[in-house]
Amino acid sequence: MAILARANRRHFLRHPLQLLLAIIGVALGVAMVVSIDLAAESTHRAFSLSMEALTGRYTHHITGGPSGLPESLFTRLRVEEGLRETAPAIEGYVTVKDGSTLRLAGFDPFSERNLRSRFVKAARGDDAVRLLTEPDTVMLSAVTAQRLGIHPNDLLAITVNGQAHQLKVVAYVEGDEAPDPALEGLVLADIATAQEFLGRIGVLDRIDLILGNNPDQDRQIRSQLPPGIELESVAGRNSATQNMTAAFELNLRAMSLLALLVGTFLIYNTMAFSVLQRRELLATLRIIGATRGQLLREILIEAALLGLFGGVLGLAFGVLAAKGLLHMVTRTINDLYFVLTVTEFMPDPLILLRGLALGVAAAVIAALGPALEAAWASPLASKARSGLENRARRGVPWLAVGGILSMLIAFVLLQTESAGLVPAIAGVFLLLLGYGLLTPLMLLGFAWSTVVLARLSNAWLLRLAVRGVAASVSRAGLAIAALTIAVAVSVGVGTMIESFRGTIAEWLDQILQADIYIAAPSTAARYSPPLPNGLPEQLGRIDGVDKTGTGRRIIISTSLGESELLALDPPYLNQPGFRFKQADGKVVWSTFPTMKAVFVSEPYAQRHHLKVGDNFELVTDSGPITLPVAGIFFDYRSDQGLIVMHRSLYDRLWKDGANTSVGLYLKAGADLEKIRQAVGLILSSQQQPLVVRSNREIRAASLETFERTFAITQVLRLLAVGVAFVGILSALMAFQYERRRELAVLRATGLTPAQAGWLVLVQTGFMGLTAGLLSIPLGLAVAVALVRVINLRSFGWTMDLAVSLPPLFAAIALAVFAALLAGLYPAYQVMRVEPSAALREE
Amino acid sequence: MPTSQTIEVKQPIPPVPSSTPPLLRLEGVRCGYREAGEWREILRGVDLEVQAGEQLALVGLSGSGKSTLLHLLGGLDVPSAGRISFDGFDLAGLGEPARTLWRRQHVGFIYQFFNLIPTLSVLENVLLPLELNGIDEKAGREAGMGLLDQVELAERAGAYPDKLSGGEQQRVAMVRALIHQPALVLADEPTGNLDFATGEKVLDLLDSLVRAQGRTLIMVTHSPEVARRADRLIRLVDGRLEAV
Ligand SMILES: Nc1ncnc2c1ncn2[C@@H]1O[C@H](COP(=O)(O)OP(=O)(O)OP(=O)(O)O)[C@@H](O)[C@H]1O
Ligand SMILES: [Mg+2]
Repeated sequence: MAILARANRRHFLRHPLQLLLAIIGVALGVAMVVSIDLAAESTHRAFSLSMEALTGRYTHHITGGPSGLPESLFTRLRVEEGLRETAPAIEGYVTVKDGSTLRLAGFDPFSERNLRSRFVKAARGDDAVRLLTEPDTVMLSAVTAQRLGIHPNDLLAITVNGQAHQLKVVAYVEGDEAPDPALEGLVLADIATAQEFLGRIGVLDRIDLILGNNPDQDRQIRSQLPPGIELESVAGRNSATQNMTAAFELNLRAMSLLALLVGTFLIYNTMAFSVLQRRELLATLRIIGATRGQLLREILIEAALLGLFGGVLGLAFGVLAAKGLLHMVTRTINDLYFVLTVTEFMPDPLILLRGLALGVAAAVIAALGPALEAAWASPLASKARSGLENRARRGVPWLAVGGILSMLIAFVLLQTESAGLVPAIAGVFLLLLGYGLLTPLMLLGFAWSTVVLARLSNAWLLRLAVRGVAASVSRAGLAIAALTIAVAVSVGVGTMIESFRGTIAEWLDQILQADIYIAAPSTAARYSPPLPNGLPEQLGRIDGVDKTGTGRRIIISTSLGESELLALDPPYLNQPGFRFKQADGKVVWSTFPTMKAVFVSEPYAQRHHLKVGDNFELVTDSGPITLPVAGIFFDYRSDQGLIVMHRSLYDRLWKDGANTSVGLYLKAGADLEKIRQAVGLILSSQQQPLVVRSNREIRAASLETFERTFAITQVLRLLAVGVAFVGILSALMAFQYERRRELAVLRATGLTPAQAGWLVLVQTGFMGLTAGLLSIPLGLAVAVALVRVINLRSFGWTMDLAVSLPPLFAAIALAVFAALLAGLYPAYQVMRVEPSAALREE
Repeated sequence: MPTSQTIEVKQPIPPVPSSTPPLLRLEGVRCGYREAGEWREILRGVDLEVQAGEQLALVGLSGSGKSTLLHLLGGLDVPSAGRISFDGFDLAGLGEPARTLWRRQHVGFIYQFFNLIPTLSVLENVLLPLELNGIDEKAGREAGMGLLDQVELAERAGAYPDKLSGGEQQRVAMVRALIHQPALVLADEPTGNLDFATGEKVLDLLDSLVRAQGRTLIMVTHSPEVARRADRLIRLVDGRLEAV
């Protein structure tokens, strides 16, 4: 069908701007989806590769409580239980001079050499012997060595728990083999060396085992383990760790999907516009004998090509963007979840292919409506013309009914608490869609009242302009709906972030009751090194310090999986240290020191479906114990949640004298700076460097982490608005194109070019204002959905909705401004065009 | 003989059917439009017989329904009542897809405005009907150039329509309407947009081409001079045809 295809394809070459807009639309949509996919995939792969490298062929771990495992257990298992395929492991985090965090892993070359499970190259030969015989020696991953500019026999300066050390790098972990990206960030030492540097002599973190798939054997081993020590499968542990980021990723994906939807809208616009422009051409083709099927196919092929071009461009953008995004995503994961270094970025062909297919599919689906319109239009031009708008106008009430239905479904999805996160996200999409469907009706109502007002005030240009908008409700409605949705999403997300920030600030004020906090610098999320013994007592004796409170944070095993436990010893009971969900927070708090129960944070309760009074099992040093939940408190430090118990209960259950942090409560009128100096003096005599921060400083640092976490969201939000803007530009161009004959008639009857230009600007300004006003209720609804449902179901965080007026006004201004900006080019065209030329064209 | 079954066959283009029985027969054809909820009947029982090779001029007041009738003859629309038979079979009985296939094979259209596809060159415009009938560009090229030569436009074959004058455009449209050797040529005021002299020239060429190939021509016109060239003159009055 060469000539037929050419007749249609060349149309696009004659309208390059339009073509470009459509391609950009697809490209941006595809780019966002692909970049988020790639970034997520890269972090997943980095995670599983490094896990694989660290666990090798091992199938199970034996892990202990906060104090780890006694080394003797390893010997006992090997000798007495005859478990030959075992190896000891200890791990910690160290920082190096460029600020990055490395994983220091202690291993036993003998065990590994025999098992040939992991670090095969490192466990063999003379280098392994040097690790054992020379002090302070390590092996470094070749990739990391390259990054840090370190060669064998160089010294590596590290900081562990705030203390500086020099280590001698004797070889690469890979030996003389090719650098393995999966080993990025790995420092390998002999067990004894690692224990020494991590300050945990005689202790192991894990014993790794290779076990067959034999539940009886598992049970047998479990029964031999002392209380508080657990056997778990490697796969289960890894997937639990990785699952931590699931909700975070899902939210990112939802954002990218939104961008693709906006891109689809852009293609719809372009295709609808191009069909409109080609109406005569298509009619002629039909008269000559082209069938409906042929025209349908032509237009769908066009769309597919558009999708393909845009898609390929989008892949290129996407890969570029993914590199930036990867950095942001990894940083967030490191801030919030676990330590992960991602250096290898390899675009997965499957993701690229999927992105491309998504682009093409979106383009074809978007073009389906216009294509059907083109094929089914009567070749008799006189019939086609007014029919479209009439049909559109008759469709407006039906669209509204559909919109209301869609919003009702959205409401149900968002209200049903048992529904998960995915239905909730679908609910938000349905809410946006439903409101969009309702927009044309609201536009007509708004236009009608404006016309009435304009008639009263005799503003004929305004009346003419608004009538024109109402007359082509199919185009105008679409453009306004798109702008409304884009601005509303921006308002909604903005309000959500605002609310979140406010909630966090308030929460920080509540929990940071002490004036000064002392803790060891943490090298990784979810890992808190212990303080030196006796430090709290020493600090409590400083003049001006009224009381001290201590905290101990550890990771424990429970019947609900691995959990973070915080043991607190608050000096005051008159003011609750948390805001409890239930009303009698003060009463609950007053029983804290004596209660044989725990508090859990809201995300923890949400995640594990716990209510006050529910019981669950904790693995303690003295064996498993079942404890009830005495209260649920609001907490935002981790979306994994937190268990809190009183220090006295903790001490009864665990043999762990250590503390993680100390809070100093000053006497009224005490001089903060003086006391800080005194604290500094005491700390300087300690082996281990510690960090002293006032509650203000912690608050500021926490808020900074918060802003960092939402950096991605902000970027995606901007991008979505950008894509929407391109969509509006093309919709407005279609709108004005359709009105060009009417404008030519007006010009011929005496409208000056300037007036014609104004007419266009008044029209687009009116459309922008309509969109701006309509976006406010929707934006607030989206904010409520995000705050009350999406965030709650994603992370388990309840927040207070904070709505402030200035951003709402800014949103209206943004909509008007975007519309006016998009109207400039059409206005210019209208002013330039000869009315006779437009009239002659039939 | 073309029937609804043989319409699918794209090649070869069938020869002009010999006369008796008539090529076209209209019996009690009615057609109208719904406007503001009211049915307005435009054609109120049109009867007509056209022999193959005949040249008809159709006249009538503006709004009398001439274009409407032509659209029915070309299968672009169907009557609300009555029969239109082409070479013995009922056009109205065909579905839309079959009418399109029938039209692409047997009808050539020329109308007043927007005749040519602006995105195709002159030659491509001319070859499009052949392509739709399954004859590819290369195969049709010679015939196309030959006809363009006859209307003195061979050297403009590569030009786009917007570079052509009105008369030139209508000559190209003529060639395009005839290239696939349709049995029936329908022209709706083909010279309505041209000055008298240019119009005469276009009509001379149309005359000679149609007569040379022995095609049947039905042409709507407002001009008595144009009408006089035809073998037969018919007039639409009050929704019915009367001979003049
Ligand atoms: N799609 C339509 N909907 C409603 N009425 C129509 C439609 N198309 C044509 N008409 C009406 O049908 C009548 C006949 O129209 P038609 O175009 O056939 O007239 P005509 O004889 O060709 O006129 P002219 O000489 O001006 O071209 C006119 O009154 C016209 O308004
Ligand atoms: Mg007419």
